[in-house]
Amino acid sequence: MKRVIVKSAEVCSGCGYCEIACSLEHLHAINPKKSRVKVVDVHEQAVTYPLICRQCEKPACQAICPVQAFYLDEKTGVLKVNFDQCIGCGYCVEACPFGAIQWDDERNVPLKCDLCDGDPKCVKFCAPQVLQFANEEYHKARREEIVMGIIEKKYGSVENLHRQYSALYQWKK
Amino acid sequence: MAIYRGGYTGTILRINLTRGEIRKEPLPEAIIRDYIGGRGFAAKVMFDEVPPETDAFSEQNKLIFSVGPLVGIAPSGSRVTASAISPLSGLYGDSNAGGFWGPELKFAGYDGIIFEGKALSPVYLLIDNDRVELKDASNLWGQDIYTTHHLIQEEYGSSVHTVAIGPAAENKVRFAGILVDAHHAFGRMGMGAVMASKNLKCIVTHGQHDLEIVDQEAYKETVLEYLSEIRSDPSSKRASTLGTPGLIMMLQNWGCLQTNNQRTAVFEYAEEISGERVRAEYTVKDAGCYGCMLRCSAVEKRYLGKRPEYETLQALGSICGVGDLEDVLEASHWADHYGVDTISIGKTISFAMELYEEGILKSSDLDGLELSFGNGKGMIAMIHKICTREGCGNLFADGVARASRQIGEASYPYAMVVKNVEIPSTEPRGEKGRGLGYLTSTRGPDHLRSLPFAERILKPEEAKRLFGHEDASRMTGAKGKGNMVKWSEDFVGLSDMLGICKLGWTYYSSTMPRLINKGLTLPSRLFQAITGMELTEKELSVAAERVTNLERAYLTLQGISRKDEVFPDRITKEPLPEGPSKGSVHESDLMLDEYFKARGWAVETGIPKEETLRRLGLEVVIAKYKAKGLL
Repeated sequence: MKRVIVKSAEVCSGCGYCEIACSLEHLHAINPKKSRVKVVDVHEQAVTYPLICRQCEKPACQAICPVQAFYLDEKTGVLKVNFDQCIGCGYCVEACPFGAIQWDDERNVPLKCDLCDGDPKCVKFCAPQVLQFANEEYHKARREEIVMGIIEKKYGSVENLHRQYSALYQWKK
Repeated sequence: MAIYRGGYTGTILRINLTRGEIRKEPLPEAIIRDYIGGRGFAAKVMFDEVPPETDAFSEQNKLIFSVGPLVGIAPSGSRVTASAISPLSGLYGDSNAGGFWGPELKFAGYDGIIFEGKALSPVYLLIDNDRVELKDASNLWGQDIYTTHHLIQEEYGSSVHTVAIGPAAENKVRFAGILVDAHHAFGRMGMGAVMASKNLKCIVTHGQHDLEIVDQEAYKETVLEYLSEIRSDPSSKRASTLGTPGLIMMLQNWGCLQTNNQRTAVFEYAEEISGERVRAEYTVKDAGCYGCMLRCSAVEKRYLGKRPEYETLQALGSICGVGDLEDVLEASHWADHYGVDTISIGKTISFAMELYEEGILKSSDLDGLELSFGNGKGMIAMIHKICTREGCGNLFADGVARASRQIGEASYPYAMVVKNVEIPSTEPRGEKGRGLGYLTSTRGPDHLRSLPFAERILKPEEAKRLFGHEDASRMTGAKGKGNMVKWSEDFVGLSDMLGICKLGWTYYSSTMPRLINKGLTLPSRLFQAITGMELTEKELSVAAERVTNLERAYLTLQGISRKDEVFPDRITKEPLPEGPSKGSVHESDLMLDEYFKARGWAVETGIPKEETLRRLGLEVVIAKYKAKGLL
């Protein structure tokens, strides 16, 4: 289960460096309007939020594609789009429940996150670390953090946990 | 899509408003090498095309918007310079803004726009990539900044970015600004009034061309190094959290917080208007400009506008003696609504307040207002009056210097101006290098032309080694400051030319030695990676020096010399009455001597010497000087 997640939207300033980094990776030039991650600016409500593909298990974008332009990359296991096959109908954009597929206005093809083949640049260049790469290490670290939270709540501290353990066995000379 | 090497689009738009003519011109190679872009490009165009004696409101004045090579590409690469002869100073003027418009102009395919002449009736410019058109703006004229931006987005969609003027500019308020997307400002020097004098209401921009980078690996490596610097530096964390308002309490604690029209430099209610309070009680979200990793801005909750910067919190706070933050926020909101410089309008109102307190102006001269220091509601009323030129506002809409000449000699001691422009906040008596920078700035008193932050953080031995005297490490020291200001002007001047933000690139490091050791390393590496041009750090610094000298030359051709680089007597003769900088005055003469020497300018006149101009390749200036008998 690998994907880029929005870990802390509250510190997103809307600077758009994720878009800059994404376009540089995929276009080898800078053009935020052709980025696969999109910072949505709900200006009247003072909200900015980066929208990005969830890498769904049952992708609605793939399901609706009439020409099977979506394919699973064997090396990375990420769903990608074959631009040669794509007819530019845009149904994938509509089908995505998260609005996470963007559109290239010039080439008329969908822009879908491919996790930069395992090193997502949007994550790497996000200064306030709004975006996180939820890979194996992330899930491991997260589970550990949750467990430590439970310990804290239940025992007060790790020391208490260890103390309770020690109390389970007494030895007298 | 790029039609040039990395960093530049290679195209300049020249719009003749009189004839309604739009031309696309190539950006000349020589300008790139010698003046880099941004402020440097504008200085060159002004020097070559606008005669120094031109009146600010005449058709011969030109309004130039220019974006440097790093705009749209580098972190904090959001800055645009707007240049013209200023209606406030009557001299060379420019103003600089961030936001998202500059990058958008670049994506549309342009490194700059030169506006000439004057449209017959109100127009706005539409730039949609290669399509550029002048459109009728009669339905927009008279609208405030927010409404203008809103109406444009209603017509063209929310992805377009705008620069626009408001009613203050239309009413020729001499310190009216130009607002970027309604929230970022080309505040100073009245560039908005120039735009209005050309009947130009707004520039609507949409662009989606690619911007190329020559060496992408070097670019990424440099940006990641910069990012790790930012993440590891405690003062950048402070900048992200508090933004520039974090300076309010620092200035208070240094005895530099301008209060009551510079009567003093400590403010009883500093905490009320402090960055800490604004962050804790009045902000809802972080914000920043395009591609900025520092994110110094925020959204304030009262009007969902941008959090006021420290200059505004002072100008519409302590300088008017106003300690009620709600009043300050409201005043700032109205300033953006009308599109006016908060620094100049705050200083103008504080001038009126002091005249009222001194009995020089009566309530009857002020449309019945009891305009004492601290009267927040009165301050807001004055903003409405000045921006609409209603009642007594008409007098003050021309700025402190002109109003003072109208009111008469009794008001002169209270006019806090240099070269007809209101002095920005941060008390020059408490921070003397900065004060010197106000005098030497090539666009009227200004803190961002020099930003000599070294005086705040250097150790004495470092100051001695770098700038020739230990005193340069003390904010109230005078010796060594001439050298420091010269160094700082060139250092930050390059930011204006490249189009990157000074806060983002030069101000994030808490330790001066680290910054001085790093110097321009990161920006110049980025410049090389992006453009592929082999200009060394040294050559870039020389280019910055060249630009300052060219601007100086322009000013001297306008008749400016050392005699004009003077503060009002309050700054040079009246010691600060209280606080940490108590007893201090600004030793301008001593510092100017050192500065002019460091610059290679004649000490008596401040006119650049022939050998200096020759070293910088400014033979064009020598020719003009000789023709005018200045050399």
